Amino acid sequence: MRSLIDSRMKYVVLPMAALAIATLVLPLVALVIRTPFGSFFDHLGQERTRDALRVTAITSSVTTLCAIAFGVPLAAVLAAKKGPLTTALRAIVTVPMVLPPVAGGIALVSLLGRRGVLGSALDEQFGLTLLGTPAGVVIAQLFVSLPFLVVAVEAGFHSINVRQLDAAATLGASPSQRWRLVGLPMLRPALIAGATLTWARAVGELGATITFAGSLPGQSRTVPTEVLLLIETDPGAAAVLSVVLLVASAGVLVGLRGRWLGRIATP
Amino acid sequence: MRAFWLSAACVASALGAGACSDDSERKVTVVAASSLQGTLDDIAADWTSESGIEVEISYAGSQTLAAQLRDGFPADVAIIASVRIIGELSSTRALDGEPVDFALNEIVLAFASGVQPVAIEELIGSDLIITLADPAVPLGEYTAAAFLHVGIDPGIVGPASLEPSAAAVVTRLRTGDADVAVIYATDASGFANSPLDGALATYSAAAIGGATDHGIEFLDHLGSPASRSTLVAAGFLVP
Repeated sequence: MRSLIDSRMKYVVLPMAALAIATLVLPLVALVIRTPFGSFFDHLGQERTRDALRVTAITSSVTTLCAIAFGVPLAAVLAAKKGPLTTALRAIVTVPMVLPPVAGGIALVSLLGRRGVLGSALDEQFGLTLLGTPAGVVIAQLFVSLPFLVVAVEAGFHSINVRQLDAAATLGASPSQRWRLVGLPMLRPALIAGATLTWARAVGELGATITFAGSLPGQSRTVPTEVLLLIETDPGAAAVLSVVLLVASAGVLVGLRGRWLGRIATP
Repeated sequence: MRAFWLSAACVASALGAGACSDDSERKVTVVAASSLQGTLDDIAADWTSESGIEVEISYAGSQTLAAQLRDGFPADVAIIASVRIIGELSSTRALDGEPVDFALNEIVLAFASGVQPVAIEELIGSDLIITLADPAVPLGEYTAAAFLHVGIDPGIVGPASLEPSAAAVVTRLRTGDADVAVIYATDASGFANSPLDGALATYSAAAIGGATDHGIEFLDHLGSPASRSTLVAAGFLVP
């Protein structure tokens, strides 16, 4: 550390670093200061709040499971193949990470809305519409959060020592045994990190969800949507729910301690 | 670039203690309900060409505006689609004079293209996909009042979504994700629609106490014959 920040530099670096910390931390401190903890559980006990918490818990969990089911195979493909096609694919996968979520929601409406490219067929053939449904929420969350899983797990695949897999094969392990006994244990830290980030991103999702799946209490109204509506009618309750989101994301970071901060690449 | 430095100086002086009187003498800041966008821009442009005073308008949902004003947003004029909210405002901000109700907007039942219009009573139990504004926003309050007026409990209407803004409800109709929605009359051009009784949105404007008289002058302009005809042309009613 001494060589990285020498004595002359520290008068510039340390104040700037402190400013960065203040930017990130002070708003959260203010949020906690302004939260009416006296009525914390009254707010949480309200039916509409419980509905929003339930919708968010269920949809974000389903989203995470779907992300693992589709995302791990995609990460394996990206890690295994080389060439311009893979590079292009990798860029496309990360687009939703930088796209404004509202734009993602508009894209989903264009595809799966009732008059959408595919959505009109779904409506005509099966009478299936996604506005106001938990399924719509899952699709919106998946669109914005799947890239987090793919990126993390691809890094995990790259860190797998192929020689160890070869050694297992030499020792007579079948392909499924090789992955179960050797590959997956090596992949596990990246998988956990990716799944947790995916889940956290899904829990906080607002723009794509409200644009695509709307806001039906008990069905598609998630905690962030509820916060958006409460800011205006009941700021205290909005602060309480924001603290719940804050605690959930802080829990994620504590759970990821070490895993995300550098250990993925060096298991 | 000059405007940038002026406003930067403003921020600096506001951070100190002084107000930025030089800038505010030639400018009036208005916060207004989103449903006035376009029409109010025209009205403000007329006033600027008459008086030489710039008008800066910031649009948002009325509830959001109320929250911003409660938190001390430095506006000279507030225009809100709810008499109740503007009434509550007077308890947190000093107002110059009384609020003025200067425009009305009907509430209509509107249908997406290709949907056969029905009466409000026929919505219950129909297969139509309904989208409404959430009761947390003024349009949602008016919507609930319109349903109650015909004896329908808003709780049994069964919408597919309760949107957080009037604009979001209109978007559902435009994309065809909803068959039918309750919206403001001024948003309904292009949709088959029928007016609903029992609710009439009222736009109320108030000048917020401050250093200049431009807020009050702008309110006078809102009530002028020219402004009234602009409002009527856009589909508003005037009292």
